[in-house]
Order: sequence, then structure tokens, then C-alpha cells
Amino acid sequence: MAEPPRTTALSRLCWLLLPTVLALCVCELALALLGLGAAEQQVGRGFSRDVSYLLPDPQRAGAWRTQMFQGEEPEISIAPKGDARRVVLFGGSNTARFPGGNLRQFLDAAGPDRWEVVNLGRSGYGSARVLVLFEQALALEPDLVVIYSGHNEFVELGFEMQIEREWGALERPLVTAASKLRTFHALVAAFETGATAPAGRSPVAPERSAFEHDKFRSFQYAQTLRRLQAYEANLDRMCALAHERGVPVLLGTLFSNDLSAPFVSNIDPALGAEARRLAIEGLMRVHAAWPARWKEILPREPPVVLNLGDWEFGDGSGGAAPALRALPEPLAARGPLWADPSKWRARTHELMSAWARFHAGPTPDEREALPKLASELEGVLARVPDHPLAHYLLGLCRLASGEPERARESLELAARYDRAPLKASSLTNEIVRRVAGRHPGVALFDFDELVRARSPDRIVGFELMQDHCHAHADTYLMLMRDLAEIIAREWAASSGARAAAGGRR
Amino acid sequence: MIGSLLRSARAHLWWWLPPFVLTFALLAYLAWKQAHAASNPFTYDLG
Repeated sequence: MAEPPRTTALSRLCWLLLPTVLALCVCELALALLGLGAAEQQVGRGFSRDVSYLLPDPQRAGAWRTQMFQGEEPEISIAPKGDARRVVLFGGSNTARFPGGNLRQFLDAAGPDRWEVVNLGRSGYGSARVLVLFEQALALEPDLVVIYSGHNEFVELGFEMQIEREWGALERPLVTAASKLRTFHALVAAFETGATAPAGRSPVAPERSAFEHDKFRSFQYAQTLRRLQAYEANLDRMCALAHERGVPVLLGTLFSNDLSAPFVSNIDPALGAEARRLAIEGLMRVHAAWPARWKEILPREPPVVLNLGDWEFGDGSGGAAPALRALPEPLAARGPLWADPSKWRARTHELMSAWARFHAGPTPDEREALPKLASELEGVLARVPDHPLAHYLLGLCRLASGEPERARESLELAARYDRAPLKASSLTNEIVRRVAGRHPGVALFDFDELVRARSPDRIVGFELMQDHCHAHADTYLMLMRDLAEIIAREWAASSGARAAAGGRR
Repeated sequence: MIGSLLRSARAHLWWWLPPFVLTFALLAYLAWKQAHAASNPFTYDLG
């Protein structure tokens, strides 16, 4: 009589795993043979250290290519490192808009060295994702790195909140692991075929900012400061990593549009209901008494944000460009650095016309109304000293009253107290200076000062800026000349230091 | 041989079927969720 089959622990384990693994392997093989299920997007969305955002190019030894744009922009090919000095740029959309070709030309003209510029700036990236990319990009063997990051901390936090809302803590590592399988991507494609597009799933749209705004409506200032601590730690980590590899770092202060309104203003509940009621009533009286000619520049909720398309892809139907403030020398003869008005959209023209009316100065009636408005706002700030919107409106009143120094102070406080700023502030730049000061091999490039010095009354506005944090193309071009000079100078200094260290050895 | 493998598979049904079903169900769930994700944060261009 035959013995019944004996089940050993090993065979049980085999039966536990092998059928599943084999079935997955068969699926993967079949999909690979059919050319289906290739990874179209990395669900880590830049946050995951398990995803490689840079890959060696299989067709050229020593060459690299990025996989970080998810089909929205062409990926970057990086040639094998040659004799040219390699400078790698890191940051968000500002960095992405830095004209790397011009920077290379200016660098080549600045000294005997030949240069190669690799721009790894990516729209929406804040310091957390820049750090992930930075860690991987050191494999490119940069001779120098430039970090211009700090506008996107709360944009990035918004993304994190969104991912957390969509994917639970348990699901996130699972989906990251699953995204390595063709089977997963084939299933996603199959489900997408039948899926109706959810409301939020649309191409780039300015109204998306409303969505972000809602997330932060009740964000408290202590949370804002905590997020900026994380920003400081990320910058520290990047500087330390570069130092370990002996790579000099240029760390930039950030320039912003002082005239763009704070993104989120709210009142700390700890101040009490009465203070809150009185402050809101004061703000409503200011709103009601605000001069009619300047209504368009009053902040809206959600905020209105001009984007690149509003400056570059319109039909110019608004007519000639309005006159804003005169720029200081050497740009005085040049005027605003914006794009040809024949490319503007109508809403760009409307908003710039409103700013032109504001900068042209108040009528006698408006001038008479300004002290009352300022006094009302000071009353609000006596109750809520860190109210961003009140500081902002007070700044505008002071600017209209011909007090640019005091206006600058108020506008700075407005940006500083913004609960979820979409632009850097003096607070951000203090962090940048602090980080640059405490790391060896890190030099500062002061873009904030360079832009401020070229702005009327040192108040940065739409003459140089497209929106809250992005500049006009010619502003970037101007800054690339400055950056090339700074890079050439720092490279010479760090080369001298290395030569001296070599001589001592 | 195939007959013996099938007999063994039947004998071990409760060892391999649950992880098999669970793994593919999990994959399908994650893929379904990814396909219906409310939005892709990379489409923002605010910064």
C-alpha cells in the first residue's frame, strides 16, 4: 500500500510562495514579450528614495539620463563627463527656468575653464524632493553644485498631504513596491480605460491653487515654522553631503515679488473670539473703503496667480503695456523686463493696468482716505500682530502714501507671517544665510539682494516678476550673468584652496 | 509527473491559494486606486 505524501516544512513553504511568484514571473515575462506594462509613472512622485531619478544610459558608457518628468517634459540626457567643469543646478520651477545654455556661455566667457551646466530643477520640487534628487545626482560627479530652493516648501507640503490623503501609511510602501512590476502598470492601464476622469484630474490649471489654499486655511503659524525647520534640515543635509564628497556648494537666497499678496491669513484661536471679531470687522471696513480704482489689486480668496501662459501664450488683445514704476539704473532706460505685450492674455493686461493705476499715485480723494485705512489696519494689527493680510494692505497704503521704507517693512512682515507662503520671505533667507554660514565649502549667492537692488525703492514688483516667485525671462537672463561671475569666482577660490592644501601635503 | 504535481497542488490547496489570491487582489486594488487617484501632484506648477 502506498504511503500518503509526507508534507515537510520546506515543501509547505514552497507551496506557500512558489505558485504566486511563478504566476507573477509568467505575467511579467508575457507582458515584457508583448511590450506592455512599462512603468509610465513613478508613484513615489519624487518623494521616494526607492525610485531612481537618474539612470546610467545603457547606450553610452558614463552617460546618464533622468527619469523625473513623467512625460510632461523631455527627460535630460547627460553626456559622459569630459574636460569641462560640471555645474549641477538644483531647485524648483525657478531653477528649471534658469537658462542653462546662457549660463554656460557666460561661464565660458568668464575665465579659462570650459563649463557644462546640468539643470535638474523641477516644477513644484521643494527641499525634501530636491534632497532625494541631490543624493542621487552626486553620482554625476559635479565640480560644483548650485542650490536655489525655498519657494516650494508649502507647495510640496500640499503634495505630501494629498498623497497621504490618497494613500494610507501602509499602502504607500506597497504601491511603491508594486510600481516596479509590469503587471501593476498593465492593471492600472486596464482600470484607467474604464475610469471616468475625477474632478481633480485635469491638466495644469491655475484654479488648482484654490485646492491648495483650502488645505492650509486653518494652518497655524507654529506649523509654518515647523515646516521651515524641516527646510533648514534639508539644506543642512545637502551641504553636508556635498562637503563629504568635496564638492563646493553655492547656496542662493531667494527673490520674491513683494507686491504679491500673502497666500494664507488666519487668526490664532488663542487670541479669543472677541479679538477675532473686531479684527475681521476692521478688515471688512478696509475692504469696503478701499479706493475703487485699486480694487483689482486687492487679494482674492482663493488667490489669483498669473502663470507663464498668461505672459507668453495670449493674443495681446489687451493693447499696449501699461507703465509701472521706473527701474533704478542701469535698467532705467530699459523699463520692465517683461515679455512682449502682444503675447499677454487679457487678464495679465487687466492686472498690470490695475498696478499701473496704483503706482501712478492716489487722487486727492484717495490720498485723503489713506490715513484712515492705515489707522484701521494698525488697529487690526494691535489685536492680531501677525496677521499677514493686514500687514500687506498696510504696506500698500504706505506705498501709495509715498512711504516706501515703511511699506517695505510691512510687506516683509506680510510675507514672513504668511501661514503657507508660496514664495520665500526674509524668514527663508535668514535660514539660507544661517546654513551657508555654518558649512565649510558653502558660499552664498545673494539673488534676493541682486533683484532688490534693481527694483524701485528696493521693493520687488511686476517690473521684474511674473508672479509671486517667478521672474520674467529677461530677469533670469540678467541673473545668469551674475551667477556666472559668482560661480567663476568661487571656483577660482576653491581651486586655490585645494592647490594650497595639496602643496601643504 | 503533471498528475503528481496536480495531486500535490490539490493536497496543498490551502497553503498556496490564499497568498496567491491575496497578492493578486492586492495588486488589483492598488492598481485600481492608482487609476482613480484624484489627481497627480506633478501637474501643479505653482513653485
